[in-house]
Amino acid sequence: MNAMLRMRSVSKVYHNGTVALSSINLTVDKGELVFIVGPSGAGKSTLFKLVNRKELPSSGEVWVGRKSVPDLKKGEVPIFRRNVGMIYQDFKLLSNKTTFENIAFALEVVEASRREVLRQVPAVLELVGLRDKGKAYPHELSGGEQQRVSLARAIVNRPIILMADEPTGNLDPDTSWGIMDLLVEINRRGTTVLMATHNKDIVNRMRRRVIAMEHGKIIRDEQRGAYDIES
Amino acid sequence: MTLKAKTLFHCFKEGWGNLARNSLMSLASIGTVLVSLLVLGGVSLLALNLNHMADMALQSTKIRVLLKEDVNFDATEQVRFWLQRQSGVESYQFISKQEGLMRLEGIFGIEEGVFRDGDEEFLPEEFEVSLNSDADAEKLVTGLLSLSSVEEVLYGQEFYSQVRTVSKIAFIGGIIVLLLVGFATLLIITNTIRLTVFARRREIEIMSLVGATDWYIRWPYIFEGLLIGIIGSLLAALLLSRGYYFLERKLVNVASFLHLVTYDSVQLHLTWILIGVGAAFGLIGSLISVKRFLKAS
Repeated sequence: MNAMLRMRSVSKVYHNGTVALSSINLTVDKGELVFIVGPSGAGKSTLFKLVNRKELPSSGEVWVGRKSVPDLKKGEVPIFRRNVGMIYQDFKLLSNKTTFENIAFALEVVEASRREVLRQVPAVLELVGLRDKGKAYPHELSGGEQQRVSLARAIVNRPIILMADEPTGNLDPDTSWGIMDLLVEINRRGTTVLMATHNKDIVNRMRRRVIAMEHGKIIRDEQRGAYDIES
Repeated sequence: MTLKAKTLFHCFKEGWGNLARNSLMSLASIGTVLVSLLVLGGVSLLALNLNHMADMALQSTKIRVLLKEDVNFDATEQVRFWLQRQSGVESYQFISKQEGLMRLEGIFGIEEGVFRDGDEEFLPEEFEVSLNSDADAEKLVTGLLSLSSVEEVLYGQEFYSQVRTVSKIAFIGGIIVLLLVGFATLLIITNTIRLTVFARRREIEIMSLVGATDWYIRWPYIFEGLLIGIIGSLLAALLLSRGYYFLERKLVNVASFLHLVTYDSVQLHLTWILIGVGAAFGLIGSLISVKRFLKAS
């Protein structure tokens, strides 16, 4: 299989001296769904920031497809980010925009035509199960529905890789499974999915590849793994 | 940097919306642009008028062009020919040595012992030149002095150069005041736009997350800054024009000897300069505030 994400000897030390990542070596193949687990401060979010170029590594190589992420020119970064979808625990929706507008926003900022907006937005709303919630504002939606909107916005530009940073952190177990099912569906359609999570139930029942991190290092990388080491 | 026209229009709408949402700070910014540009416009008009008065004073006095001793007829004709070609010369008169002496006698009287026969030989031949209102007096004097047969040009230099100096000092002083007020203006515009940027930081974060280019993010704030600058400058132009008309009318009654520049003759240039400086204030202010934020995010 082709590698979608490759990290070679990647370290990240912040200006205040905090070592967030230390000598990370990681390859994720195209079409994989990978869980990244570990306690808070283990380096999961920093790893995502290096992939979508919010941060630059202190040393090492980060490749997404054939692009060396740290070598991207400033002007190339926005185009690159259109290929990397992100969702977060706090959804990051705009409260003054409706569901439809929140998703359309992701297309408008990349200067998509109105025709494209009218075609793509209803399609992703359908996919995430919010066909009839297009006119609702975020405060009128439940947490699970807000995360679905966020997911819809992340995939509307058809990214090749989707990173979910604790997407079920604010949701009850049933709603969390609803989001997980959606991520599986998106993955089934060909998008590589990386999900940082503390949700043991999901990780243990899904039995997918698990990468465990601690103190900025990968301490376990297991196919069909569980949240904790199984003895 | 290239955006579709539709996107630019959208950014303009956003910029206008920012201005309205943040109305109090926007008004403060427009107010400071207005004050800065009133200072700029005011000192420009003062300097223009002082220069104009110096020119007018010069035009109302006659210029005396003294020729070198023993110049021949050809050399005199050279000066005459040169004067004929100048559009600023209203009229000129050749004063021979004999006529020069007669003029002196007219001034000092012809009592015995003051002037003697043959005194005229010590006087230079000269041209007496009157200028019209189009004349660029300084240029004419320089041109005359470059002629080989001209010894000296007398035209009340002291008064003229004093007025010019006062005008220069007024202008330089005005520019210094402008720089100080301008600095305050930039500070206030930068803070106004920073408030908008801060209020919309979440939106900007999401924009950059989903792949908006820096220019797409910048344009609404650039429009906001430009609008502040242009509205402030248009108000300044309007106030200056009304104020100047009022002053002109008042001065005609109390000091009719003062020849003011008519506002119509400078209005177009001054308005464009004010708009240009106002727009530059807005543009620089917005670029500074957005640049800092984009760097930070």
